[in-house]
Amino acid sequence: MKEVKIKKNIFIAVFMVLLIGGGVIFTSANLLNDFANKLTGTGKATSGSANVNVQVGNSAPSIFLVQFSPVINPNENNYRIAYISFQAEDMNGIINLNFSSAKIIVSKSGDVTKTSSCVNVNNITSKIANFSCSVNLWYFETAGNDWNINVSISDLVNLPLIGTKENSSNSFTYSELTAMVFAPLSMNWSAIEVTDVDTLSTSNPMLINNTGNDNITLGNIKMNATDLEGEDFAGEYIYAGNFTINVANSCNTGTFMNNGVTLNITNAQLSKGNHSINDGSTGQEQLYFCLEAINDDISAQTYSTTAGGPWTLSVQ
Amino acid sequence: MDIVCAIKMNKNYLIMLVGLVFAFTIVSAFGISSSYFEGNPLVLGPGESKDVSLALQNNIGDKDLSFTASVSDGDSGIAKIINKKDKYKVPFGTENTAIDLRVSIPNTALIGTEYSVSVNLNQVRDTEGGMLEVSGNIMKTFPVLVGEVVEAETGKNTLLIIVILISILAIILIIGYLIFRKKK
Repeated sequence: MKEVKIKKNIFIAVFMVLLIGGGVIFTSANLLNDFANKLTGTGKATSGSANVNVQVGNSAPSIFLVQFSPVINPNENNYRIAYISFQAEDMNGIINLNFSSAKIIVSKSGDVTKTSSCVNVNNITSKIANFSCSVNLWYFETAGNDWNINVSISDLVNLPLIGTKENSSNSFTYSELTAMVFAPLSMNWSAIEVTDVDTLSTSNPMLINNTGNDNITLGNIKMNATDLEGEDFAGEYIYAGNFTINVANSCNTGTFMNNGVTLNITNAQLSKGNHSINDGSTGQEQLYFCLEAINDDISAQTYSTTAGGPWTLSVQ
Repeated sequence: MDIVCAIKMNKNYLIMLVGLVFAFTIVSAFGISSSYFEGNPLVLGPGESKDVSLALQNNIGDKDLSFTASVSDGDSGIAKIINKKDKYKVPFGTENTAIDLRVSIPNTALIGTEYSVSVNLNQVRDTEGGMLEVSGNIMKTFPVLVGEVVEAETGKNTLLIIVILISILAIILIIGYLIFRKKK
């Protein structure tokens, strides 16, 4: 009888040890985490499984391993190709997949939606096919961390949008690019008398194009000016303060420059947009330079920014 | 580029003639991108540090460009350029020249504090002899937000803690059971 009790105690102890040991092994091997991932869908951000519809005689395809770059940088004045790939599985075999139905929708809520077809690049097994998709993202498209990816494929049974994959993990960040192009790089005046006033530059306007997706708002286009010094007789200047910069083709308004001081150009802004529209405002700004007057005590000679350094056009 | 100035006296007025003779460079174009921006701040906890790269692009025109770079953070001292160069040369057609920043949040920073980090990118231009030459500058600013240090594995850790607690409870039960049996 005592022997039976001892065996019973040993059995209970061994059972408990196995229970504890199993728990530890289960935990340390991350098996529990894997199990939890499968339950909650909190696995890798760039892959996942899709809904599975069941129909007698047919297995609907599923989509997984959606792969993409989590951060995409805009390409200055051009588009960037975003590549996304995914794998589709059909338990009836890939022959049952409608390859031509594979497509991608990339969208930013409230902003833009882009749709593109995908191509079958290779077959992993007789049941799994690999697809590659690409979408062009233009330089002026909005920066954000909420660009959503939706890939889908149907099978030949023609069930609509079977295997559509769309969840919060399938999103990427489109970076913010602050970029510009401006011309000309040198402003000139044709003929100036010392008594002349309000002389607009013959190089006007200086055209600035926004070649990125950063909205340059009012107050964020600035100029740092320097005095123009005589090249033959140093120490004589056409002062920076004699110049104005305006968004309109006129003098006496706009912003009076000041030597060595960075000043906002009044009313200047550079919205993001497709500047190739070339309407003067979409992704564009025009600056007009005016020489308001000249000191009458300076010599006739060449005056330039060579000594003082170039003016600096700043956007932020 | 060159300028010609001529002078002539005419009724006691000084006349200056300024004309453009030749232009070397047509446009100035460049850009800088950041994966952190308004609406997508860099979030770090107190005492945390992160290296951030800002990429320079030179895809327009046909010239290699040079820049000086500096950082400003409103005197908070949280950001500095690492491996700083006197000049950043950006060959034409490239976009992988990086300005690397290290952003470090003080241990004493309060949750919710928002900093602003700006990188000032100043184009270095050789003078070309124009009357009024203009170079370009871009100031790229991104927000840094002090937040809780988020444990990405929080949910999983909770499960682990539950398993450990169950294991400890089981051990206690075994010991208790054995003691009870022994006394009996």
